[in-house]
Amino acid sequence: MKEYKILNTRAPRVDAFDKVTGRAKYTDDLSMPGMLYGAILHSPQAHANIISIDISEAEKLPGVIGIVTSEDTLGIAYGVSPARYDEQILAQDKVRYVGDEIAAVAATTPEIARKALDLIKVEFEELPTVLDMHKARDEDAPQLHERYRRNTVQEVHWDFGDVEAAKKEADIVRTDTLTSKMQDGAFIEPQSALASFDDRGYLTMYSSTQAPHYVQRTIGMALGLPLHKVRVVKPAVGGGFGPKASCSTMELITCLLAMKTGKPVKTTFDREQVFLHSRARHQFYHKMTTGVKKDGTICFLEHECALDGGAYCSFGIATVYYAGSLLGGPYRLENMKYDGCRVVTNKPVCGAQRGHGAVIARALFEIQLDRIAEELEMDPVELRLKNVREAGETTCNELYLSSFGMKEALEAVRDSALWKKKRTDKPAGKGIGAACGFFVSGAGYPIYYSRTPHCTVITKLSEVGGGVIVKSGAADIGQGSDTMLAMITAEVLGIKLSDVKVQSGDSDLAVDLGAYSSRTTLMTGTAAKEAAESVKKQILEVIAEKTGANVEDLDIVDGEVISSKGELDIDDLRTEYRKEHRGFRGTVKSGNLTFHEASRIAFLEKGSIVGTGKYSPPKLGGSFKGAAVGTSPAFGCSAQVAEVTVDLETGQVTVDKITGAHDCGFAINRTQVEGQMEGSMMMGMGEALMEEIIYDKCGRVINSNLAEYKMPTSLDMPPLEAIIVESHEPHGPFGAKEVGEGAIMPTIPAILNAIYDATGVRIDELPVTPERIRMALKKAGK
Amino acid sequence: MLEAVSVLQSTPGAIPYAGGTDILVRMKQGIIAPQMLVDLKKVPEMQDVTPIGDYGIKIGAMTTLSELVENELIRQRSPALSQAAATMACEQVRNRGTLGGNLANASPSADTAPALIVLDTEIEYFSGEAMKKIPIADFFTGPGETVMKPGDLLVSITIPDIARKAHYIKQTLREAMDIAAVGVCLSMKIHGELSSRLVLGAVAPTPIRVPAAEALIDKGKIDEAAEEAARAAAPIDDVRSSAEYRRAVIAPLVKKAYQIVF
Ligand SMILES: Cc1cc2nc3c(=O)[nH]c(=O)nc-3n(C[C@H](O)[C@H](O)[C@H](O)COP(=O)(O)OP(=O)(O)OC[C@H]3O[C@@H](n4cnc5c(N)ncnc54)[C@H](O)[C@@H]3O)c2cc1C
Repeated sequence: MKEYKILNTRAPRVDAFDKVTGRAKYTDDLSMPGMLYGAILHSPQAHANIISIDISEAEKLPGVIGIVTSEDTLGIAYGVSPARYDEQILAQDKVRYVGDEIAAVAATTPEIARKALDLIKVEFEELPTVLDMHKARDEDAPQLHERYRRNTVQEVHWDFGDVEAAKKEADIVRTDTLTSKMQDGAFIEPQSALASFDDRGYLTMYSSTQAPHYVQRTIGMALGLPLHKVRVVKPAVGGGFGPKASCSTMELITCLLAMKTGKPVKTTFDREQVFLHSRARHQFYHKMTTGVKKDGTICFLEHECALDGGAYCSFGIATVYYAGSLLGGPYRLENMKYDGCRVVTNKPVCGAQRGHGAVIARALFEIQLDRIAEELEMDPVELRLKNVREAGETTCNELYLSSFGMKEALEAVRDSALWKKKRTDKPAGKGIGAACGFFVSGAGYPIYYSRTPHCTVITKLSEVGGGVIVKSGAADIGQGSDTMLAMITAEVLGIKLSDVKVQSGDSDLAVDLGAYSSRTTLMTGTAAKEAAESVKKQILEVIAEKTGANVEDLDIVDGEVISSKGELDIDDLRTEYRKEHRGFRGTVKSGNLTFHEASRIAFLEKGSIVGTGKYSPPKLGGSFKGAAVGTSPAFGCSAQVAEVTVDLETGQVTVDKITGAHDCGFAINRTQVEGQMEGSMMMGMGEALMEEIIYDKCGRVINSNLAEYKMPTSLDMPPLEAIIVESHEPHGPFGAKEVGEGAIMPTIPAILNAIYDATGVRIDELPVTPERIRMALKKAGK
Repeated sequence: MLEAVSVLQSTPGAIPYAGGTDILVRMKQGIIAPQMLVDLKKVPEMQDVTPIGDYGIKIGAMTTLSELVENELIRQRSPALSQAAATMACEQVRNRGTLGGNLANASPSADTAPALIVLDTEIEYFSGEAMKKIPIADFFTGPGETVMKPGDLLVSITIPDIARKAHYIKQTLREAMDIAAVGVCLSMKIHGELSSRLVLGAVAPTPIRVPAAEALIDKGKIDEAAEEAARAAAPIDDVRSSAEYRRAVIAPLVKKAYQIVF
């Protein structure tokens, strides 16, 4: 492997100091002169017609500057998938869930704004509700949207290979189901937006978002503004995990209030609103029938799935496609049938969340493999190893695996966790389980139909010399993409990490589709590499010309220009530089021409030097309907082993350890790769054991706070071992691909398989709480 | 203290403010809207932790939950109380929240209550014009309700000078920041007859003692005692647990507590 100076190290993050000192500014930390505070009136009804809205009392409240209802909007529908734009900024005639937005107030203080909400009178005509996704599909169920017959937003019917023929070859056929619950993103920073609208018609919004680009487009479309006059800036963001990947109603409302009042307006969600806005994990129901031969060869998978996504479509189309397509890997599965549907109900809206669409499908399939291994009396890890794909193979749904360290990852966790030993001699109540995972490294297509580059990067040499500024639209939401961009740039240019400044997350700087589908390192990293290479070339061309050297012989190493043909004649250049810096101290040392000198001289010669880079995926995917979803320039894969102790009397589960291995292609920053793996395991553990949005029968969320919506605390987290596998992805920068989402895939099934190992009872409903375990044990007479 | 009492008694809508970890949450949720908060943080009579005889201890109401966890005297003389406090909330909330607040708040799942009940603790509170002293078992009258009236002040608690071993088990989904689905606390005298005390939390409108189970424990009939305890409970379904599960885990938890204490 090539020796790198900066890549593959544990370099501290570029934002580390700002984050730990509290100096980093998040959206809610920002304010502007004359700024107003926005507050939103949410529907208390799960399903109702709006008869009237009376804002007259609220308007009279001193301090209230502006109130908006649907009458202030253009009535343009928006959403995530253009084919399913089904949302309005403010409810027009109907509300569809408890939390749907009806009106909003801008006032001089947040307290006045909230008080004004109490004075808005809304008259409703209650409609029957439907909260259960299976009932929502009934012919006579209450209908949420006219356009969605039987409340179904999307159906998918796929049939790859020949399942019927494969059935005849299978020796063992098993059918199992799994139902999950809606989850919350539970990021630490609630959404916040600050919008201002100037007299020339330019709108600027600071927002806690994962995807400034999509937000910019949605605002322009829904508010009728020219796109070039809409600027979206992402300050520091405290996590997103998916729910911040699309334009939120709150962002649109804040812009609307700023346009109506002519003043800057800031709106910040409280925690309950985070739950109501949601856009987090769907509820999934999966039914799978899997057939294998006696020797463990997987023959076919027949898969049915239903997704409850709450009141609107949001990402729902992509979600239901992902739920099917990502079972194409990591195993040799040539015959796969999938029937999925995405349903609307009168509940908060689900969207994308880490491991988009694929997490619960993966969980059930991996659970099935364990059950099958048990029937075959085969070690479940061996069964998997027998079936895993390798680099160069293409899945039955035409996903090409250009790099694939699945086998290495599985063997690594097997060996590191002492799988064989722990599997055989273990005390009562102890269990161990394994699972694999598979995920895209960046969605192959944008959400809207376009051949737009997925991102561009503009790297500008500092005119005064010495450093570069990387300008990108990428959204660092805590995952560390700014550090990745800086590291790649510094490595390419041969300079110190501290001499690279990153400006990102601003739609005025460059285009970037955003931080979702684990795209940024592969895609924006490639663009940053290209931009830095261009800058380097331009500098070296000037130096070659000035010194009479061949440009091919020159390089920049450790911040100095060196030549493979011996010493360069730099006397004139140095003299010129020295004269320019009369009075400066210590700017030039003797020896080789420094990057500082070289970059300044390049500027003197050519003016501003800018390098640009872009990333556009190659043409991907098959020709079948929906083939676009699931395609990616590369695929990550991972394996995990979970060890648990179960108290058989109370059902209490203690996770003792998780050992994970993930193929990220190449670790740009080892600590950040491990951080993503650990975060994934934590999130997966929460989903497996605790996290569940609970509704009452009126469709109200009754645990919309972080006290009663339970996720693991630091004290719940077991020791985590993160093993990095590097398979060198040909399409990624320096061989890198994803780790952000793929690492969550094996966590839930590894824990569930371990619980089965400990208890002997299977539970087909998540989360697997002590209560569900205790009741299952009771049913089994234990 | 008398100054605080006089303000509380003369100001309509005034309530005592200790650590605020219950009050502020409810104010922000709009459940209560007190007209005045009377901060007790510097009331001298409510601060101290003092030994009584060889085993007893008097604890001021303003003692923080963190102090219950860390104070050497409390750790030695009533480790179950320290241990119960350590299960509560998180470091930050424990630094603010107080013993008096936890008791006055009177949640059926309050973690300090079972440990104090099994130690035959007495509560000293100022009511009207005088201090009153009652057994803690008589203190709680319902969810969020105690014998105290508006204007009353819980001043201290006294754990009597009797050597007892005790243990508290809190059944929760996660390790921290969680409210008991079921709490079980058991104590036995170290010298002489066992004279055990068994208290269940979070399974009735107040923490409850189960005398019938105590009698069976004293006779060494732990399995029957555990069943008796399960029968005595009147749990409800809520966001944390079903009544059925609460009832199902009481017996195993009682047995577990017995194994640890005995
Ligand atoms: C995140 C979080 C987690 C929590 N976890 C737990 C837990 O695990 N277990 C648990 O039991 N509790 C828990 N609590 C509740 C709370 O922290 C405790 O009940 C705490 O002990 C309350 O003490 P305080 O001093 O903050 O009370 P305050 O909020 O100040 O007061 C509570 C009530 O008692 C009254 N009061 C206070 N002191 C006196 C006094 N001396 N005389 C008369 N009335 C008085 C107040 O007027 C008020 O009505 C949690 C709270 C939070 C916010």
